[in-house]
Amino acid sequence: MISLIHKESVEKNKWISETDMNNIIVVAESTPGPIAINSSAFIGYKAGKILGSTIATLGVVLPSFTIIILISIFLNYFENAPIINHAFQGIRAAIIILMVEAIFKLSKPLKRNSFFYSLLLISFILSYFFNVNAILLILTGIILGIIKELIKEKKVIHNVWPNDTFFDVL
Amino acid sequence: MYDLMILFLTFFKIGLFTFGGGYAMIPMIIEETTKFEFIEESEIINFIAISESTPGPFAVNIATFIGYEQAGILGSTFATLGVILPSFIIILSIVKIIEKIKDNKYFKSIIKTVMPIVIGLIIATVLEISLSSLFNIHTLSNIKNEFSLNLTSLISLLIITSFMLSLKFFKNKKLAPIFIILICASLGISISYLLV
Repeated sequence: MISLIHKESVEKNKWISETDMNNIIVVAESTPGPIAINSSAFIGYKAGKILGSTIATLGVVLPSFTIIILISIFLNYFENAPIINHAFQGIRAAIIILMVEAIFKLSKPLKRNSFFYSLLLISFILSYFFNVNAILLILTGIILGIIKELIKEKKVIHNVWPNDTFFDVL
Repeated sequence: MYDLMILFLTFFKIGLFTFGGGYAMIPMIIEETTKFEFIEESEIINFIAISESTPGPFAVNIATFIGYEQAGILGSTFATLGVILPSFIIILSIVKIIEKIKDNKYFKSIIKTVMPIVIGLIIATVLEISLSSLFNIHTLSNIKNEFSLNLTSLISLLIITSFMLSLKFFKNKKLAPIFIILICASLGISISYLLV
């Protein structure tokens, strides 16, 4: 999708610059929400302010919306056909594969240090064994991220803690 | 009307806390929708599969799907609006300072903390889906009584995994999601008939 966006927005229509493109790639993947929506809102704004933003976003949403509704209607007619059930049994395998792929794809750009693995493990354990709410965990992560940076900036513990390497890991 | 507001709010919540794109949303979607008990987990998984194979943003697809199941076209509209609004609002608020945001230390720190948590959540979800789809294990305490093999799914998984691994090691090629899903759907149908 990113190359398509690049082709249309930077090369063909010149709505945004190359720098803008690089910025939005980083930001769209990290800020909340679907990457496609983040990108379309941004590029739409650059091309035509709030109206542009709205129209671009509507543009990216409408095809999906229509197709899914059509598929929904189709499925509602055929949902009890055994062939559909059999297909979905196979599709379970596909889902597992795709999610495993997603795990690797999301981990790749990150620094895989002990901080990373401990957070990952804690999150997994809390969610799987203790059914802690996902949104709660993410919210905690956001707060932790802010606190972590605050600590680094104030260097409060830096003066008290003799060993630097703990915070080097962070 | 109440239904529509719940759809909107649920997907707004989901859209607000999705870091890392579509797949990161899956744990939250499963949690939030099974809460309402009008959609079963197996149904959700089917929706997820279809949403991953059709064109367009996964988030929009899944919101439209679930919204439609609950409350027709109005439902899908409210759900989709919910999932895209947080993005829209956030991006519009930071559009003038996007250059600075991406280098902002707090932004980077938040990403570094949230992403491993999200990945941990996805791993938990994969484990849960695997156990329930392949071995019919839904609760950890009741494994002995619940355990039964879902041969079709298991064999499909084995075949598609070996196929993809060979593609990767011998031809250095990756398979696009739509193909993975189509192949698995065909495998599901063929294996089911072979096993009967």
